[in-house]
Amino acid sequence: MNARAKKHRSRTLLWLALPTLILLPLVLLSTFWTVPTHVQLEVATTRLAVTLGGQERREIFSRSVPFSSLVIESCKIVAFAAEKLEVADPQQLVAGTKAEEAPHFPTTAWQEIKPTDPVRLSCSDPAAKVTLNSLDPASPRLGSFDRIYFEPGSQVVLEAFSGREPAVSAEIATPQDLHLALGSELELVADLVKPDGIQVPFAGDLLTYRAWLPEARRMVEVTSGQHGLVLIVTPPRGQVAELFAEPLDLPLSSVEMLEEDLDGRLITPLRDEATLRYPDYPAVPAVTLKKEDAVGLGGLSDARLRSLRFDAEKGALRATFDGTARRATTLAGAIATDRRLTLYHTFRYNWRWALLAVAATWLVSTSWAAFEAWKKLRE
Amino acid sequence: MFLPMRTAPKRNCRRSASWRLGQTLATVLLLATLPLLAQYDPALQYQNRGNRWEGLKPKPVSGYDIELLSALVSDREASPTWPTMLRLKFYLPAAESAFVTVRQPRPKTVYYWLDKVVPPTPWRPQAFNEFAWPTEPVLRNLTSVTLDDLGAVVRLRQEGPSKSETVAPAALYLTKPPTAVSGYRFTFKTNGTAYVTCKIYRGDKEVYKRPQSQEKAGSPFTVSWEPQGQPEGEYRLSLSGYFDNDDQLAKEVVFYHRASWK
Repeated sequence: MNARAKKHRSRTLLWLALPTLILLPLVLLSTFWTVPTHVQLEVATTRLAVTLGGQERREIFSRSVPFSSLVIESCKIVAFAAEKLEVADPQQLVAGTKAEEAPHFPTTAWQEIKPTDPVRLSCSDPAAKVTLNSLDPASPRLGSFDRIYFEPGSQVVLEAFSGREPAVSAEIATPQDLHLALGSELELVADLVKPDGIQVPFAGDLLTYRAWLPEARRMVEVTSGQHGLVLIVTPPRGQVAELFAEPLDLPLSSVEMLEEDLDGRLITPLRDEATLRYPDYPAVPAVTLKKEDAVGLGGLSDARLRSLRFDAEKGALRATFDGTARRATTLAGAIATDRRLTLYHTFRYNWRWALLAVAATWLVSTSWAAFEAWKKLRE
Repeated sequence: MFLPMRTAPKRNCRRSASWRLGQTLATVLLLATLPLLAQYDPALQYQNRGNRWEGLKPKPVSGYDIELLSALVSDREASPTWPTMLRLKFYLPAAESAFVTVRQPRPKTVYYWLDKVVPPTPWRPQAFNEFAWPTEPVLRNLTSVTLDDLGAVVRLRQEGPSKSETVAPAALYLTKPPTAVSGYRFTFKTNGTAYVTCKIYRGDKEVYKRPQSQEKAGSPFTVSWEPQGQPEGEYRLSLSGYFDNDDQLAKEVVFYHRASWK
């Protein structure tokens, strides 16, 4: 074999090997090269903190949220009209001793007081708290609160509690004026709260009132402090599903589901297995997270809270998020795993790229075959 | 079904250094993905600041069925803005170790937290002790946090919470410390809906009673006591009751009342 033929053969081999030599490192590199990833996360968590995105104010709760009991923290003023107002002597409280036996006041404990119009309760103490209950413990529904709008950029922390009376707390970080539509009567527990202009015959920071509301004004107005307020809503049994708006599809600028345990470890308060999916690549297997694992999504864009539901049985918020995450990490024990997809995934599981790859393979092989055939014909 | 923990879990001190290192690294990795913490300057995050650890942390999970969040004297200054320094003062009745924690009793998205305080000189027994720290590194940057949002617990003898604990009620102040104590405020939180009665005893004599109340899980409640005319000495605050799953609730906080703070 002469030198020219040898050189020609080497060049042919080089040309044959060249794509492999270039592509192999690129493929290897692509398995490490993570990209912002469109993820969908389905969780059942006890706590959820979100910051609203978008340009318009939105609702998280349904348009009329029913409640059997409502606790209001960080309020400034609670006002309502009362036809008749009574306060109980705290010394006469008959304490309960077990869960079925709620504490109650005997008839003799109640003393009528002259209400102002409206009755205004000032919550100037930072630890002030107002609880609204039904006078009739058997009554499932005390009232409902009006639509609550959340401004873009406002932060909302939701927490679910299980137990005999499952409840959801909502911490709203922006000022609110709430209107609560009630029935004809209510019990109001005022903790470190003073009524304006009413002489209360009993001392103590924790007083229980009962009020009968006029038919034309069965409304309680709540004005929050400058930094928002906290509501703890106990939904009536059987009306738990009516808590959150449906469909929700809420734009978010951030999501956080982490807590710190007693050892200083970060955990996600999951109540059930969670699933992380890749909607753009359905063939990529979904990641299942155990209850003990933690998950963190960061650098979110186009994030949306698709749905939110209160699971009273598990005391959890079942939420579905969707968005493109620049950072997606899960933590199982001490092992943190990056859950973003890599460039390799985008080629491997994208049908366009797959089609292109098949076409390229077909083109190369047929071109090569044609070239060889042409060479043979020339010889 | 909600099951409150009956006892405080113990930390596993025998875990290896490499396990702890791995845990820390994993936590740091996960923290990097935490968007709400990332909204803040990393300089605001909880870290060693020389004589204290201070900064923002994620919400801590309470493993305790009932927890003392704050034990303060009632007297507080109005605080429209943060001055240069925030100060904490407490009376240490005996030669005991004291552990200071300053925190927000109401869980926000992130928590202000200060602990692991190293006093300039050892805490002095039978004397008032003070600790001051600059507000510039963290507090002044938290626009939604005021002095009213902060609580403090000075635990004596042991660092962590327990069923029965001894505390030194503290004053958080900006410029003028209180000269006399008009009242005390103890803030607690249960981790399940509970019916709670609070009593304060001097020896076996009941000197205060807060009627039984229903407290929702996670919602802080404050016991406010004005000790007018009560003699100086040791008092015992006792919380009793039951959770809505009928588990019993009990907690005891021992503290020393001293009327004059001059």
